[in-house]
Amino acid sequence: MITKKVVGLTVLSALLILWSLCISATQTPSVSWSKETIKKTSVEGVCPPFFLYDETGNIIDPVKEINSDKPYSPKQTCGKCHDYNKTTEGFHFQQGRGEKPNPLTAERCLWVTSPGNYGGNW
Amino acid sequence: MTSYDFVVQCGSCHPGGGPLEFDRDGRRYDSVMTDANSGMVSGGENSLDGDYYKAMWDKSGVLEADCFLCHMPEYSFSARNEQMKNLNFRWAATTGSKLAMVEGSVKEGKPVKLTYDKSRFDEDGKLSPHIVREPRTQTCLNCHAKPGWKKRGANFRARTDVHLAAGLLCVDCHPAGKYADDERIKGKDVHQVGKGDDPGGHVRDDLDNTCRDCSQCHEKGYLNAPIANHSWLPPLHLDKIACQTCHIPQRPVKAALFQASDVFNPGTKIPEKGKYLWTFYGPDMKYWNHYGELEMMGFDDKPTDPYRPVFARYKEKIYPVNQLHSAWPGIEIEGKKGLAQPLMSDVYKMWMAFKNDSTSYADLALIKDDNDDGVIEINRPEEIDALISALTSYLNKTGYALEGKRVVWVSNDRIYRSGKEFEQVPMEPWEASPYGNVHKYTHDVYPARAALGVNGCGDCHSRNSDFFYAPVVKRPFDEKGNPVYEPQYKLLGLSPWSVSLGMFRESELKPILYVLFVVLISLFLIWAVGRALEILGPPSIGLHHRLFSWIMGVAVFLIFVYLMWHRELLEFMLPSRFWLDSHHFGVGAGVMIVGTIALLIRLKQLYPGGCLRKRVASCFRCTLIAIGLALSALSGIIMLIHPEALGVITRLSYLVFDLSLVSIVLGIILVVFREIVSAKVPIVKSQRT
Repeated sequence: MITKKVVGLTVLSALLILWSLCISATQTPSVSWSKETIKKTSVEGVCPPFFLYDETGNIIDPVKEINSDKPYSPKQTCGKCHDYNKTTEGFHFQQGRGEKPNPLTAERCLWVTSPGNYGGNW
Repeated sequence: MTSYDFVVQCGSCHPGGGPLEFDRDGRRYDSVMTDANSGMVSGGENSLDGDYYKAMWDKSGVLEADCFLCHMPEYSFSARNEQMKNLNFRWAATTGSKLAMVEGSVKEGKPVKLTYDKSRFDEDGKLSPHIVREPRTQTCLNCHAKPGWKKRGANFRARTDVHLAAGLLCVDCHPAGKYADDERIKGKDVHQVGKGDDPGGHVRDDLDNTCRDCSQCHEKGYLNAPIANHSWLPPLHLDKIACQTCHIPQRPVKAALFQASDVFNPGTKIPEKGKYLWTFYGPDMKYWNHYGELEMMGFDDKPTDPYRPVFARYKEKIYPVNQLHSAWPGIEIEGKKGLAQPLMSDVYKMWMAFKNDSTSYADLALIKDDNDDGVIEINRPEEIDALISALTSYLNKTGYALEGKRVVWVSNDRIYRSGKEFEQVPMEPWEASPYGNVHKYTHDVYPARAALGVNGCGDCHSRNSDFFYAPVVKRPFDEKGNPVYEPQYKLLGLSPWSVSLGMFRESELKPILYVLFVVLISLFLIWAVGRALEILGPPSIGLHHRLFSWIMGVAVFLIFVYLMWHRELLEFMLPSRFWLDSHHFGVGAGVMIVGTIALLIRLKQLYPGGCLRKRVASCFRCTLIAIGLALSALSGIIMLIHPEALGVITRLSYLVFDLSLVSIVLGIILVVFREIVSAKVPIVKSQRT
């Protein structure tokens, strides 16, 4: 009789421990230090000293007074290392240009030609 | 607006590139105009081409994408904008970066001269500017702050935003390039900034929800964000309610709830003439001179005007939103669906003509200030007729071709052809007007301690809560100029009875249950003390001993009654309502276990043998407990599974569960009470032995 009780209590305790382990496993916050959280620093992460270039691609050197009357061109300057065309595909640059308004807006507002501010809603 | 005008009027915020650099055929504007074969004339009509009409691209240059505008913290927007005003587009990036001083103006025909600041360059003539990979928050706010205030009541300050207070940057949630999470926008030099999904914005809808949402940080722990544990909340809520709904219980500054573009408003310090036609009303539906405030105070010193957000369903979830209401003159075109609109400059000129000479478009004099707020508004049939008539006259006078067209007045979803005839157009469930944007609130998130629900379920499910019963503007004006409201639950598509049942459950039923707990504890104390005295007390138990146990039980109950009128003490001494609500599963399970024990004891006392059903039916107390147990088990299972197909039944199960608990506790109380009153008095121990 006593043995049965002891076995029963042991099984019950084991089940309770298992249950609490399951509960705690589901509730413990898990922070995974994946490659998303630890960013790899790459050599291209820092711009070296660079020349400014004008719109026609010529170097501007104010120190030596070369083309120093020309405004610099971000396209020619930054575009030496970065993909200017890819960058300017971003919607911050395009402002809805080349996009059609969504169907409901087009149906409601006859003056709207794009979903953005360029040719857009107001 | 031509492309050239777009640069002048909108280029102060737009970083260049795209339509500020290339025409619709992908050709660079200045290359086309400087090409002798193009036939383009600087400043000429240029075949009424929208890209070249009266444009001087050859002289101004174009606005290339200005990288430093975002990536150089010290960039000067004002210096850049100065060049834009002077039509010196080509020079804007150089002065904005403070690399050079510029004199002259294309607009004024003065030659533009440029002088570089040599101190910015090394001896090789190279530049090493202070540039950053992740633009600062202030950089983003240079463009996004003002519209954020007007459209969304956004403050974007640490004072009112838990994320900014924690030091996060815009780009932490709106990543781009290599650092984006979403494959749609990930990649070197890709500048599609992670975006949300605003009902009022449709630019690149294909990139919706590419920003980091709440779950990406508060479930996965990105940047060591605290893990949001909502285990206390019935799961139904997280399926139906967006995080922002509870965590943005209030907006810190005013947003425009209603924009009327049909009358001339009396505001002062409105910087541009045309904006006198944009008459804004705040969330309280009082006139709001937004542009005047912006001009006088600026964004940084905008006044605090807190208000409660409106809730609307968008894509299956409830969000806090600003639903813009609108009123404007439109143009209906025969045979075409949808509406056109007259040039705002025409509407403006019509009003100015009337203001200068009240005999011009005299019908406008019929438009009055019906609600005495100092601003005229269009709301009565004769006022609608007056506007339609005056604008039709004006357009006819200017030679506007109105054949096959007619002027209408549009108020939210009603298109008025006259004061008494209107057509209603369909709307999305989240819209207040088909012609007014809807903006979700996502910024200015409050700390968890200030969220809805910190005081328990009653934060929403109570008669005092705004969540279901707050008045929401349905129409800007009735015929007296007062707003027309409807209760919030209607906008959410809920029936009054389902909301009332929720209120009843949380405001009445649960408090009854908790009071019954106290009654039960008091009675249990009486019984337990009596039993203790019987077992441990002197051989002879008299009536005074029984009285002692009653005094204890009643005292406990009276203390609770006292505490009910002293809430702070109550919450100090007893579990708070939040604790009780958040442990409702445990509380319910406890009640069911105790109820089962009480039922078994009572049944054993009554009938040691026989049919169980008859035994239960013959005892009222047992019936109460048994029915309660059965219903609580059934409703509890439905609540836990919350099947989608049984939406109404799932909602009802919350009520049934609590009713069942009340039934069980009442049954237990009666069982305990019976135990107390059935005890023999006096009991003499020696007689028992």
